[in-house]
Amino acid sequence: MQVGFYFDQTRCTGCSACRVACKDWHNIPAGPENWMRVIYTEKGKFPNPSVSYMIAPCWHCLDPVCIPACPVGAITKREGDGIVLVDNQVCVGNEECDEKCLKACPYDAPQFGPEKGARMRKCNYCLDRFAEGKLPDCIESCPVRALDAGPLPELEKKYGKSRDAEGFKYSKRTKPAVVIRPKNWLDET
Amino acid sequence: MISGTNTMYHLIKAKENGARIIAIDPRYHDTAATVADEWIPILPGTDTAMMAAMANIIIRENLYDQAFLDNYTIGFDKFREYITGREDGVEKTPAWAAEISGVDASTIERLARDYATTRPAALMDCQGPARSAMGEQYNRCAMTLCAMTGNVGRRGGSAGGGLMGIPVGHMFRMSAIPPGKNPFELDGPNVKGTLDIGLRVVKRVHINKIFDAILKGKEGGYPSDIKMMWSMCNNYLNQTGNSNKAAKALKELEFFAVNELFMTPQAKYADLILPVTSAAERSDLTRPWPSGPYYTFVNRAIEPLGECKSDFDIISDLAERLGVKDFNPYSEDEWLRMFVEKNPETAPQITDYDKFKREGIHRVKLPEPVVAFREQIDDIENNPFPTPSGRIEIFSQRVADLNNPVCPPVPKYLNTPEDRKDPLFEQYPLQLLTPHPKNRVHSELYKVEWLREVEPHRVWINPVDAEPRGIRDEDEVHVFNTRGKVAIKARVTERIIPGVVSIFEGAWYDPDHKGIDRGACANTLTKDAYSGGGAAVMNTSLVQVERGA
Repeated sequence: MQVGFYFDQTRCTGCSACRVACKDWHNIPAGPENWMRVIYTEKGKFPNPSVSYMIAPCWHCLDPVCIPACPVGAITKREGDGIVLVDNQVCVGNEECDEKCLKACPYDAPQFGPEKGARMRKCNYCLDRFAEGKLPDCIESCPVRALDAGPLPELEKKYGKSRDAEGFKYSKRTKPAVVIRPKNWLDET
Repeated sequence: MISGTNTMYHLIKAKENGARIIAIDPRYHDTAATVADEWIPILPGTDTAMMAAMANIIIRENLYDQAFLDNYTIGFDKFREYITGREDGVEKTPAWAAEISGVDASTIERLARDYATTRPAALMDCQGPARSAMGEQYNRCAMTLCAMTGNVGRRGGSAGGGLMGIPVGHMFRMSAIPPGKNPFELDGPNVKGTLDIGLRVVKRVHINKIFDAILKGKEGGYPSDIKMMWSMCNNYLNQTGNSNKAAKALKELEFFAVNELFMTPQAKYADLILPVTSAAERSDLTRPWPSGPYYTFVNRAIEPLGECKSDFDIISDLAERLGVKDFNPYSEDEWLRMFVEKNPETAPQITDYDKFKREGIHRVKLPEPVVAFREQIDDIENNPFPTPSGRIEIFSQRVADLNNPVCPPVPKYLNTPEDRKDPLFEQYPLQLLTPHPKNRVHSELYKVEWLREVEPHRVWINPVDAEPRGIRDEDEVHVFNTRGKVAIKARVTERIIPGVVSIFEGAWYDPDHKGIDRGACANTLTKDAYSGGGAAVMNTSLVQVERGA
């Protein structure tokens, strides 16, 4: 069954514990490679500003466009759980292919380190933890419990099917595996 | 600026349960952005004026709880005389407060009515405004409003006064090795329980004045001429007011030793650095900030690396060399066991020390939510408040006895140095805030790059202030006053009230050869002063901002 994420945008304070926990768990140095990012949006004028945060991991899309974009077939989608993985050893590096996966992805999920010819890596749904029946580390790090993960139909049942939010647009083409409780600014003004 | 472990989570739960949340702050901070239904921007240091005007409306429209005031408080009449202007000829009207605070009079009136007529209502006066030139007036005025509206001791209400968490697992109730008597203080005044900050500093130095004391000694009115300093578990140069003065003072000491893990801004000035163990190299008891309901045990994960010793081992070894007999008769584990078993708070809770140590956590099951001062409200005759009168003291005779014009016996809004009425305002027309950052604990963890990249160090400035100075987002700017100058990038944002800039405290002081602090430590700009009641003045500084070279 396809797995996915849930994000409660009304709860997110932008603390970025998810992003730091991800770097810690996967041992990724500080710098441009961020398997989990937190997108910041600020709108409006004083004294009525609006602020929102939106998480950005790999959404393990139902129709991942990164897979056909890759010239060497380094990216695969697993049968069963639908987790999208990259074989780092097969990837030829961003210099040789000009980051075709990143250019194809509407969510900038493919990540590259700062080194010359960096090979792509990205969120793997904490595969090692997943194998042990644990939630991804980002989920467990959230101090306000704004995140959840699990089989997508179960998340939809629990949290509904809303999929649009500030800082995120649902792509009908790629079908990201996520449900979102959006921060509704219209209600607040 | 909400204080308390995971308060954010509880505020979110309150909002989800239908609570309406209003944030009053110069900044639209992340707490406000997440939970607030309304943001009321206010100029720093003026919350007391706004609350005084709220009290005026509540009095004028007879919205206060007279029975509560009669039963549980003293001195409301004297406060009312201040509010109505009978005392000083100035009625504390919303118009009066609007001129001071930048909050519209109509907003203050609406807020006063909402607060007084919504039951229960929690006024959460936290600690940013308290760390200012008249900090205690802010907390005392909030406490007075809580009493006027009868919200003290009620579920969903609040008692005001600074919010220091529930009394379970509180960090201030931690066991410690008995300190013994400091021979230097033996002939000093008895300061137990006194509110007189002047008396307290006869033999001790106020934390925000330690570097002034080093520079001026007895001639400056301090208790001694300080020749050496031995510092552990802190980074005072970075974390008290006026870092440039601190650097000067540390250079003048004859001898300065630190116990440190890192080459902190302060450690750079040390003659001797004793390598101290990290939390991974020793076992210890810890508590939540600021309170539980749980206790934690941190087990040693690795043996001390290299020559590292714990603070306590360093002290014990030195005691031996100084000929202090039997200074430390116990092992680390024996001490920790005693702390758990002999502490009247933990003893009934943690009955099996070894299990606690093994599991690393002991959760306290509370039969019902803790409500501060519920016992007092339920039965004031048998459970008086811990004050001389046994009541909430809106007027304090102990404070009146101090006869200190900057520490009045009823809460008042007072002008202070470096507020907007100070003549310095012409030259330095921006008020500086130094809030706590989300990505480190004060100056701790500053060097962790994972955390630094989450929130680049920048000065918040409203476009109204940035544009005339030719400052765009991400530009390098200088923020300066008579005490120092920092170089920092600008974050031009609508999230801060015009006339105010904000630099998160804790970034590491790093002066270049011209004396410009390239690390942009907020305290390069703050003042080494304390308020009438003894609060460190960290949020009352005037500055100017210009484009950096």
